[in-house]
Amino acid sequence: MAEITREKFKVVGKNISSMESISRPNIGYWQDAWRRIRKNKVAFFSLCLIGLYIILAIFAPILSHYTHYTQNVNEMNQSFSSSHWFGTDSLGRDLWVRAWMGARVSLTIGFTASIINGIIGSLVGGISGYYGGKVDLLIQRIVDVLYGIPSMIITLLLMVVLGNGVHCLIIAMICVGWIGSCRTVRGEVLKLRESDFVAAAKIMGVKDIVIIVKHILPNVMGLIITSVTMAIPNAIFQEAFLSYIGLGISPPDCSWGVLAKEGIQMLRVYPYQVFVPAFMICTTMLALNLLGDGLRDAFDPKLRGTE
Amino acid sequence: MKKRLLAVFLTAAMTVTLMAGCGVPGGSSDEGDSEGLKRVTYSLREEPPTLDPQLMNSIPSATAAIHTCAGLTRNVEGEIRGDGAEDWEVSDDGLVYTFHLRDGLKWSDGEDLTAEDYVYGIQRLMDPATASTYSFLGAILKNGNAVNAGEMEVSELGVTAPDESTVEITLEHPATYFTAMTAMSQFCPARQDLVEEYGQDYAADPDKAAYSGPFVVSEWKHGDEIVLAKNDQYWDKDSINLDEIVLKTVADAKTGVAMWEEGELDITEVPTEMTDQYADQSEFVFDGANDYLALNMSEGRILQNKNLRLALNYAVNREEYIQLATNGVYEPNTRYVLPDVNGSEEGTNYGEEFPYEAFPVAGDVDQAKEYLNAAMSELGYSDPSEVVIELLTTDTDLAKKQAEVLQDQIQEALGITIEIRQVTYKQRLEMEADKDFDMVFTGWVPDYPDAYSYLELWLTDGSYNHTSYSNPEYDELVIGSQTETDPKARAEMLFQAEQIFLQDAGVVPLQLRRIQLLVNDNIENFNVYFVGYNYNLVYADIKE
Amino acid sequence: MAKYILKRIGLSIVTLLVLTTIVFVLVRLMPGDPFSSDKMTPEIRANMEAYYGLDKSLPEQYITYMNNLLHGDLGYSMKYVNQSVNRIIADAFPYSADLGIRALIFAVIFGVTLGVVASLNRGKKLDAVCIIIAIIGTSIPDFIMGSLLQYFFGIRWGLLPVAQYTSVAHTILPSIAVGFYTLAMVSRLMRASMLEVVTSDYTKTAKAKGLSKWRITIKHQIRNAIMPVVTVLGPLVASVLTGTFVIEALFAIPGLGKHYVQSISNNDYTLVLGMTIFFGAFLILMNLVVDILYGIIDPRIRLSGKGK
Repeated sequence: MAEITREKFKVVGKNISSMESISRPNIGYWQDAWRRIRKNKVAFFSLCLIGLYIILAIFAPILSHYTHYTQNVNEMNQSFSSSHWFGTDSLGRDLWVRAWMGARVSLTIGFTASIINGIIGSLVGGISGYYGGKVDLLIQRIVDVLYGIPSMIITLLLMVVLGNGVHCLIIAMICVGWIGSCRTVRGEVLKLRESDFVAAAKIMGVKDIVIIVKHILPNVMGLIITSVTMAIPNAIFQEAFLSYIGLGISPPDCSWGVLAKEGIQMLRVYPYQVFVPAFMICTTMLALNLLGDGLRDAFDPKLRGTE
Repeated sequence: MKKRLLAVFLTAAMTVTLMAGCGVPGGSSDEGDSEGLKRVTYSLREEPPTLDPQLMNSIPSATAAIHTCAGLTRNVEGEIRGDGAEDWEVSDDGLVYTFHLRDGLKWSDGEDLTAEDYVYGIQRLMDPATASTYSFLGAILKNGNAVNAGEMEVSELGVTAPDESTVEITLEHPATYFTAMTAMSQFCPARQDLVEEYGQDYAADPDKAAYSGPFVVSEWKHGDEIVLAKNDQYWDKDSINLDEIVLKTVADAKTGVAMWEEGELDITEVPTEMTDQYADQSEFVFDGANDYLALNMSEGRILQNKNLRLALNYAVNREEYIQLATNGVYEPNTRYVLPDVNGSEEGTNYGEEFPYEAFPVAGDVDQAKEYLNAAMSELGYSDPSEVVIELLTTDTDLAKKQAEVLQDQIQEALGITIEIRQVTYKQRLEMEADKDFDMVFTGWVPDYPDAYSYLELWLTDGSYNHTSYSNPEYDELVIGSQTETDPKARAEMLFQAEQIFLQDAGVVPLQLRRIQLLVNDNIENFNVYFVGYNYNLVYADIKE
Repeated sequence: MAKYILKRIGLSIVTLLVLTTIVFVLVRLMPGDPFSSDKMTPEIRANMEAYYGLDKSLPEQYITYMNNLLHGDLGYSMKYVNQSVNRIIADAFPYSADLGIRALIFAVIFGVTLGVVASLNRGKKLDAVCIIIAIIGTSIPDFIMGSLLQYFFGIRWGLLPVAQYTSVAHTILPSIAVGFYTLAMVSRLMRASMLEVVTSDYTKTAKAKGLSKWRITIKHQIRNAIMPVVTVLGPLVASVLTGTFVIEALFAIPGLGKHYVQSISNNDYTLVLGMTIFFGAFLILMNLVVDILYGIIDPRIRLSGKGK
């Protein structure tokens, strides 16, 4: 029997660098999300469509030789043609340009209002849910009261101060719009607060703020982003409603809501006039909804790394 | 798969039965017994806010009221007939009107209708405690303003009943149009006992009022419809042919047209978007409104400059504006007084007596630019785009469209900047009263068919003069016309005042509102009028 | 449980009072006033302000209003001068509620069915069809939806009445127009929660017990999956039942919807306040009902007071 002697072994020493090396590339939270969103064909296509709309909204009005306000008594209510791609409206204005000018307004309102709403809502909702108790009770009562105030009064009052403009509409929507994301985030945070990893962090003496930022936020991020994407359509709808009752932006500027409203008046005579804005609103909503679904999956830490 | 389809089908069936199972709140009850009844249904965009004769505050209300109230007189397309009064005399100085009532007048509940009821109605209108919006009509009555302001007792009002069948009314100043005013619902009789019994609920429901007119309110489904039925107690019931008139609230004009096609409505308005489609079947009628831009001439306002105001007036191409904004339905207008008001003689018309075109209908851009240049040198501007004028208007579709067209026209013609400010109607009124605007899209509907109804607006201290317009010559002519007893001379004074006002470019006249109506072919004797009400179905009939 | 409900009701009343106070002040800050019109003079305005007590100081007006409110009196409308706000709401609410209930029945039945069908066919064509219907429902503004329904079914094809609300046939188009958005939301929520439920342990247990597929779906899965839907329905029921401005205007239905918008643009102080209080109370009530329903539907939650 061969004897195992000391000589048979040799010290190779500790190679720290190779021990600690990561065999696979390091993927951050956002990178991972981006990777996953690209793999989701439907969501990626939706993203592209919205990108396309944004690009057209920026460039189409600049490149056209029509403006969104020039009227022409000889070209009223013309259907689709090579000179007017989307036809003209009842004042003889080119609808292609108007549609993209409308996109500027609608998308600006939609994105800005819902992103700000998302931020305010998740902050307040997070505080309300995390601290609970009296803080929560107070915040929730404030939310109830705000929800009950007719938003039209708020819009009207703001218009007196700020005039009819995009910024006024955005602020009006923010005044009550954050309630939605506040409610969802609060609910989620209430659940997470009781979870084991938060309890562990607390026992280890981690500060509240660190717990919120490092542990709770990533877990509700998906929810926030989804609710923001879902809120964009709502904001665009709300703007459309305000236009419907005549409280939209001041003419001759327009939004999709304004175009849809002007178009619907013509439904029985010139149906194409409602088709254009309706198609754009519809496809944008569709894309945002599908993108929202994709994002929810992409940002969910539980699904991280899974294919 | 089949099972699943079955499930879907079953739920669908269940839904339908559930939906069918329960009735509908307003449930149609009178469809069955309507056979053989002569009924006309017309649509209103908004429900009449009230049916109380003295509180009437809108044209839809007043239109209902001419059917349910018997004034001292009745206005049938501008012709003044006796209604409650059989005849009347006017004193030589034109100040005292003595109305003699018909014998045997009755309220719809069978009570006698007396001179006291007429006096009470007018007193109620002017009583500050009634808080009637339209009490300004009574300013013409002796002590009217003082009573309304609470400075005098109601009994001191110039309205008395010397006996059961005589009403005597004393005026502050002579007014040839006064008998047209006594046809308005605000001057109609009221029932003191019922007013006292029901208080604010008076006339809120059919059974909480009595009616003196050819029709009574037989049903009022709030927000939905008002049914007027023939009044058997009315003195002239033999001339009334219809059994029922239904006022249906239909907020959306497009829906109204569709209901007309369905046969649910007999009379409805056509929105301007659909004009061409129904042009052959429609009647076009003027509703008496005259729209213009009022220009703020207060100290420090840009439009205090007369040349700039003239430039605006010449820059607008009213023909093209009408085509774009109203699809050619409205009538372009370049003067201020409604041409339809009465002329100096019986049966004449002011517009025909004094034809006038203050500005070219199609505008004149070169002329406009000359005025603009003059204005700019006076105001110290070098570049037209620095001139910014705000156009205040309301939040309706039509208001928006009209403003957009004007904005584009003026900007194209003059190179100045027009900013549109859309606000609610109430806010517009407040801003007007505060003189917080440059120009405002507004209009005037007369309360009596006389040029004075328009021209009194711009007196230096006029209650409705929110533009600070002031011209001593104008004031003198308009006030002087009140005491001028020769009708011809009076009318000429008013016409001269109108010319002065337009030469000062006090407003930018734009249009006379014309309404496109779809009326069923079988309706006879349906007429419309431009003062005080829209439709008159009192003597209408349905052809067999 | 009773204590919990009492506490909730107490809190609700406080919330409602705060809401009323805020709106009471806000309406008076709005531009314009209830009485202004093209032909208003200062003297007449003074008469009207005196009549409605608006010439008194704001605290006095507030005390009077609150005192009347405690007696259930919401005052008279300032635009519809002979009608009390109680009366206006009582007249119009039945229409809105009827329309809302029909719309909700339609939305919940079809929404749940659609969601369940979609989830059971996950990834198949039927799923895609259901998703598309759901998304279309949430992507068309209601005024376009309503107009299209009215145009095609009412005017173009003449299948259903164009407008009004007098028979069951009249209710179909507006109910669909009002309910379609809710339907879409319900079906999406239902699909998502069904997908969670189908992989749960109790589903596996039920399968292992050899229960039929239908029984599992109906008795076990839907009952659990419907929870999130119920939560969302609370506020939704409140807003659907209290009227929709656009659809009611389009179909000439005399419901409450128009008053939300018009009372505000008319500066009709009493009506605005009345509508706000009515809606606020309804909303709070619905949320309470949802919480109680939660306990009835969810097999895991039992009302604690039941045993006593």
